[in-house]
Amino acid sequence: MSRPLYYDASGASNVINLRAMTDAELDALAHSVRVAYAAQLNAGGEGSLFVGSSGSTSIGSLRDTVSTQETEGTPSPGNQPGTSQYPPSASVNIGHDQSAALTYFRQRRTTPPSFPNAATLGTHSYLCLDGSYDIKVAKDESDIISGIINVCLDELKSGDLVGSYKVQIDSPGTNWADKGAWFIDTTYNNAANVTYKLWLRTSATSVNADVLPLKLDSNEIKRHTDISSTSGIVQNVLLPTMTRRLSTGTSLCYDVDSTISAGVSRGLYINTRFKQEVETLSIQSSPQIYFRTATPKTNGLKEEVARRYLLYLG
Amino acid sequence: MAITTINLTDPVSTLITKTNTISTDLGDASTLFTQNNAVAAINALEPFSDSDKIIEIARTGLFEDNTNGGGINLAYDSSSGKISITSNLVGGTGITYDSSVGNFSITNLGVDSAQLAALAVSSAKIADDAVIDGKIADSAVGSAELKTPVTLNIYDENGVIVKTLFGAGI
Repeated sequence: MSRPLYYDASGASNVINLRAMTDAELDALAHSVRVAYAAQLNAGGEGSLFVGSSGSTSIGSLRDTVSTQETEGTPSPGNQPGTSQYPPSASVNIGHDQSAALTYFRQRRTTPPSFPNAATLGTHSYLCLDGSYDIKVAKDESDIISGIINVCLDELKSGDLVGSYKVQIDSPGTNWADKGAWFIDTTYNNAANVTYKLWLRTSATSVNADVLPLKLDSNEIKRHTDISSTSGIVQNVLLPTMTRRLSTGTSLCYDVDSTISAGVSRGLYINTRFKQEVETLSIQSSPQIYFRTATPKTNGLKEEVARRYLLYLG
Repeated sequence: MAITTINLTDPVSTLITKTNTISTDLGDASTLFTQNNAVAAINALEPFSDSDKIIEIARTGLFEDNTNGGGINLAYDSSSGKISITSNLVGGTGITYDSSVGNFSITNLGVDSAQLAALAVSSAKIADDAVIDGKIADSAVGSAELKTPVTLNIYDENGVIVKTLFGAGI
């Protein structure tokens, strides 16, 4: 009942049809809300994800590990030239537990905006029906959530994903903004590093034509003239209402976990290291020391150390 | 028809025939109302030879009958032959009677709904702009009464009409 009303001009001249928007008719407005929310995220605003050691809400971490070269030397026992005194092979292995920097993943959820006041709603909100099918200005947060925001959240979760993140090595497709490195799986000698990037969907590729909702203007029913992402209805009413979902339940919230324990996966990233090694022998003179060196095999196999999923909980 | 004449030369048979013809033309004296011969009958008509007599006779045959006359009485003067009205008419509820001119009239505010038959008031009897909103009963005005009506339909998101409003057009 709280879907926006619009004027359907297709009727006869003596018939005025006001219709509550269907999903298809709401598409353009709901898209504008998500574009506005994506712009907010793109600018580091409320709800945005970032990599950092402090601030906002921690959603997880992952330590990168790198296999390292290990060397062991045996001093010469004396005047025994030509005698091999190398350490036994079994005692020298590449390092497997050398830790690189711990990467923290965080989401900015600090100061959700206030719900718009009555004056703002009166100016910028839309008209909808109440339970008795009377026309009213949508001024209750629950009305706006059920009428529009839930549609946005559904699209954000399982539709065109505008306003949501993914973690991938390469771009997921059209209109995905590169938000930089999310996790770098470094390897010995940087031989086979993998950079997982954070991507943000900023807009869809196809949107239905605008259907303009009605509003109350000086006690007259009029149509909104602009429902773009920068319009009054979006910036002053719908975007704040949507952003406030961050502080209620799990809407618009992300988590980082080793399993898909909740929500839906928005990308898998894995910490790996070289599994195999190459041994080399060398002799240092004066004093004479025999060295056996284990070096990660950079063209050899890698093994998984740990994995993380970016999970959308909404 | 020629007058029947008996000639000296007529034979007896002709005399008989003509005599019978004369008798037939004269008629049967026994059938007269009150007289027993033609002369007496003619004399009986003597009063009708005077118009005053006739008038007098006519006047004596008239009389007034005021049965069911209500407040109106007729008076008849047989000597003059005049019929006059003598009445005791008075005004009733809502009606006044002017005996000087014999007019009845309706007093101001004298007609209430009981005096009007159902459907007796036509639109021609109602002045322009005379019907004000207080005179319209609740639920009495439908869309059919509106001039150039405009319909406002409100549909829910499933395309079902949930409310229809009507308004007068321009």
